[in-house]
Amino acid sequence: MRKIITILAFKLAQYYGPLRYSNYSKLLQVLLYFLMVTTSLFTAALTRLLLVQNENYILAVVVLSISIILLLGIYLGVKGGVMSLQSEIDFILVSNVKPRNYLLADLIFQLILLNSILTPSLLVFILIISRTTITNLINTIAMFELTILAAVMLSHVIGLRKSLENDRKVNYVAAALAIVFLFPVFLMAVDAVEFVDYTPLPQVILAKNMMGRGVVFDNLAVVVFFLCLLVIYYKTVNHLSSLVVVTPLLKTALVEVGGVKIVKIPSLLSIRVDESVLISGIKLHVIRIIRDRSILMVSLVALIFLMANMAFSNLMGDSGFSDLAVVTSTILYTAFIPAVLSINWGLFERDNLWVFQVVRDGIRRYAVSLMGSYFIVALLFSFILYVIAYIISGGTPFLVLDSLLAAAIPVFSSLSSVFFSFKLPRPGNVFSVSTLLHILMPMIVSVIFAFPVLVVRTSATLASEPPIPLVILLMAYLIGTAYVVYRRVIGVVVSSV
Amino acid sequence: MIGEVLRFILFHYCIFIQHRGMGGEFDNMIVVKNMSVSYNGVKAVKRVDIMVGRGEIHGLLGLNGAGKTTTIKCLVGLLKPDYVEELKVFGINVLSSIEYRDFIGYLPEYPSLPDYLTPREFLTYLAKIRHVKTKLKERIDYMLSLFGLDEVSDKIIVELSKGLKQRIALATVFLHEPRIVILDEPFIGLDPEGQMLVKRLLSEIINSGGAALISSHMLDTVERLCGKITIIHKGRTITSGSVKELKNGKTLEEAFFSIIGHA
Repeated sequence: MRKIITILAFKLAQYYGPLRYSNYSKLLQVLLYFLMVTTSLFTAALTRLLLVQNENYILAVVVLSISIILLLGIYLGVKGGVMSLQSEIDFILVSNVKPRNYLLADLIFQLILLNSILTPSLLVFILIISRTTITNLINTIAMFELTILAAVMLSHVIGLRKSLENDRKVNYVAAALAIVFLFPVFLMAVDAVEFVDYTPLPQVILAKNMMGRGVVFDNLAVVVFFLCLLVIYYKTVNHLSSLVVVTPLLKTALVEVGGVKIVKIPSLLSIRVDESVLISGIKLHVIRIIRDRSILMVSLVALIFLMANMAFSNLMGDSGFSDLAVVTSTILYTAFIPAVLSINWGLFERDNLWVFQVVRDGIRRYAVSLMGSYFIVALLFSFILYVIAYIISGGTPFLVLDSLLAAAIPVFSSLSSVFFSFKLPRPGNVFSVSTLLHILMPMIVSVIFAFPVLVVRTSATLASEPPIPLVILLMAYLIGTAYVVYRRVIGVVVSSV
Repeated sequence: MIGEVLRFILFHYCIFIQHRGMGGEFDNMIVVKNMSVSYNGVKAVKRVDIMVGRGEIHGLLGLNGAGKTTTIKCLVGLLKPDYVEELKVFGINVLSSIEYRDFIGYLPEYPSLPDYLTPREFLTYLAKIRHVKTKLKERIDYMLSLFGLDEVSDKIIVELSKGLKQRIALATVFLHEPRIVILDEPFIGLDPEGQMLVKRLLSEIINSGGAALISSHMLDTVERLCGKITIIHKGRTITSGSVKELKNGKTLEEAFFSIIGHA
């Protein structure tokens, strides 16, 4: 037991290390929690306001929240499952520590870590949206903790099985599990939300228990689910004789699919000697985005987002908010793309800056091409998602304003992502405050800058037939603001390195 | 665009005039006078003076934490000193101009390279931002072949060994035919063939009137390669001079520890 506590203390000290010596990190942590809680409160209150008429919808949203936690467990499992830093692999995993002791310490560590991230956001959201009463409060919290425990156990089982067995086979099982966990979301996406209640899946049963709607069968089902999980977990851990095979999960990026791999690049993208430096620079970054497989992660998230978006749109169906929700949230998603790409940049490319710093004008050229590459990738996804969303929802596009919005968000998110990439501290690990800020800040900033277009877009009268002077004014605003922001970002980037 | 071209011509004309008219002063390719630098809140360099003349390979010696890397980072513009009386590379003030970067080749102690590129892609992009304009493709092919990278030129860097990565980093140093090279521990991870090649390239640079500053812990290599040495200890230059003077009849190792011991 003492060894487990020692390992746990080492892990916590490593993970929360920056908080011990940096007031800046402490401030960021407080700011982040404040943002998470207020966003959850606002989103839950708004959703409750719009969905209050149908308890099935509320259940579906709680199921969606639980699915997110379980999917996170699967995702972490596919990436390795055990949250080790490189120093633990070098010094602890090669020592005589028993694997089960280390894994138990890691299980507790992951419970603490996931709780610190998910409780202020998702638990607050669930408590508000399901209008939890005082009598049901303990039950809701207990179910929430069980869900996190299930996610951590899933993460361990998948990660350890990957190191014990055929990698591909375990990936298939993980993918199948993910589809099962996404099934209620699929039901919501196809507007069959009333069937969610009858789906005998763990996340639905947990949600029903969480909302105090569980019957005896539901309680039994939760017990059986956890017993099965415990048996599989026990068998997996007992099979393990050594932990040297563990992947350093906390070292890898949140959005990295599996390291840099050689991928055949189309000749159009190969760096040529006779093209401009800017074009070569953009190609350089696009090659990185393809080869470190960030592009796959972005595509995967886009797919999940599209499904969730359709589900949300169906839930909102009665409120007359559907089309706007699809378009606005689809376009806002594109702000997420450069933000995600910038995390991988911070983890894998930031150390290479010396190459460009010692070249006259090297950093300026580098930063401009980085913005260019983010913009191209984000714009591409923005239009693809926009078109798909419209085809599926069968809505009428407001071509001019939607196009403006679809272009404006990639511009501002690319500019702000580059700015924050250089100004924010490097993302230390998967769940560091810095990682979350790298995602949140560009999204917030790009929405703020594109706000005038968003406002006009929300007005159905103006959006369907926008007066030409208004369109010209918006275009002038976007071009002018983008230029000013671009100059400012370049100035800051060049002087900051 | 025209402004940039005019600025470029004017700058090189000034360098030319400086080179011809102020030959004596410009014979010092690197000048560091009374420099102090703080790094992460710690005074890493307290008072460093270095003078590297034309046609000279200059060694920078010191124990771990002496301030060698910090000094080098200031020279190439990666760090700013707290205070310095004079900091010039190729006759240009490092703190007020960045044009000197056209003339230097730099190798850090632990060079990090873009793992996702092939050596050819990396060198091509670098040659372009380094303004290597004439026969760019031939120059890249030549560098790949010179550093024994032609067989791996289309593999991505992450797949290569530590030694090959060091060769790529060194290729970036000599790619644009610099006049001054500043190398921080250049021989770590390099096989004897690679070491020989670097020595040959350094000789070519000094024979054409350039200079080199090398930081290294390998005393025997420094002894054979460098004409002059500066020893830094606890952030201060404690001595500088020709290898022969400093040795004073002893081995370099004995002389080094004797000087450090007396500091």
